[in-house]
Amino acid sequence: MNGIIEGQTIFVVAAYVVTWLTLGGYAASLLIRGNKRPPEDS
Amino acid sequence: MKSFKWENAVGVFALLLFAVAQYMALFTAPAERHMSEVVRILFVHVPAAWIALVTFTLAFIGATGFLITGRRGLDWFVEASTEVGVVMTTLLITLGSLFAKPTWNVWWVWEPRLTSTATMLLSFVGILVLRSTVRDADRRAVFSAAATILSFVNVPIVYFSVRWWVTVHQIQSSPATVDPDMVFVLRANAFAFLFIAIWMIAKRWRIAKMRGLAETAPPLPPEVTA
Amino acid sequence: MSDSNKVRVGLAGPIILVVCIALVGGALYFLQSGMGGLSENLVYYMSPSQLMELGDESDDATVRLGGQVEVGTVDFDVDANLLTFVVTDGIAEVTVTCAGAPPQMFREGIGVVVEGQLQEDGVFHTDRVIVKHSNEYEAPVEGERASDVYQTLVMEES
Repeated sequence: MNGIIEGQTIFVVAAYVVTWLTLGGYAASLLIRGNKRPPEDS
Repeated sequence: MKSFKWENAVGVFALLLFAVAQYMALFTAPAERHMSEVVRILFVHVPAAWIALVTFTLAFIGATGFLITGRRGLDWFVEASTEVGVVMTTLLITLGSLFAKPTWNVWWVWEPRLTSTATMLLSFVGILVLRSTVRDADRRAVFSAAATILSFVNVPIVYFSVRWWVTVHQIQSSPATVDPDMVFVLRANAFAFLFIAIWMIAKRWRIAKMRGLAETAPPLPPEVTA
Repeated sequence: MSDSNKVRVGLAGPIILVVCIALVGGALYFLQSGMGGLSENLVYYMSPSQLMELGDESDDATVRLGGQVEVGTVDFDVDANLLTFVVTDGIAEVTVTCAGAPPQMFREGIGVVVEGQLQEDGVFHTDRVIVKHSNEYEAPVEGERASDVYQTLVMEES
């Protein structure tokens, strides 16, 4: 009972994976949606 | 040959900065005296929070400008920054939950900071829903500008909640309360998130513009469409 | 298309803007001034003094109590799996018992929020201890590696 967190690195891994997936996933959706050009623009 | 788009340069810079900042956050920043390695969640949780509030503030500025000028470009900007803000806030809340479990001992509590953040997310999701339900472009632009300004009330509430009310969430840290090595890594990540958000808003704005122009353009004569 | 890049908002645009800004500003002014007693009613937890003031009214009602863990009062009975400590706000003190081991961040002097009931014997029984972290983040002190300290603790307890 020393008030120091031991281990728990799974939460750090989860946080970074969630960050990369969220930002990466949204960035991918922007690129995909941005490439769908309407007919008059081609 | 596609024309050069300024946001692509921002995007490349953001990606490089993000890679360096994330490396520092995971490997070079010191552990914390009591949180040990878990403190590293701070370097993504806090930037997500700052940038979420910044993007909603941008949406507010865009909505204000739209109601004065009526420029469609500003309406597209409201749409873009609201959507990016919703992504950032969703990330913020998820990361906060992953931070709270090992440190506070709970995934979630209905205390004022967390509750007001959830309310902020819902109100801006509401604007995206509103935009998808109103078919008329002009009415949609005016309605969502008004709703964006009203929803903006949540941004200062979230920020000041930890000072106005009794909360479980701690008040804002400052460089005086954070180890200097951590402050540097935190700032690097915050700038990376900021440039990522700028790239996202620009990309999303172009999508909104493309859809907006297709929507408001008069139907082409049959012989041209062929 | 003269108006393809503009919506004709006319006078309605600025009027809507002023009304919305006024609503937002008014709401924020109301909240920050503490009018309407919202800050009194929006209390996530009570301090030990507030709980004491309630007296008998709080008996057996589930409430949240928040304060600091008083230094020198923490006792964890490993065999009984029972944690006892005193929560203080510098004025009043409440003894709290919790079945089960404390959260890792729990220590003397830290802020906690506990959810439970103040029972007739004057002891607050809880099954949920929330650790309230401060806004301070410091690097570990030289020679005090988290894993080292934890190892010693485990050996002490076992």
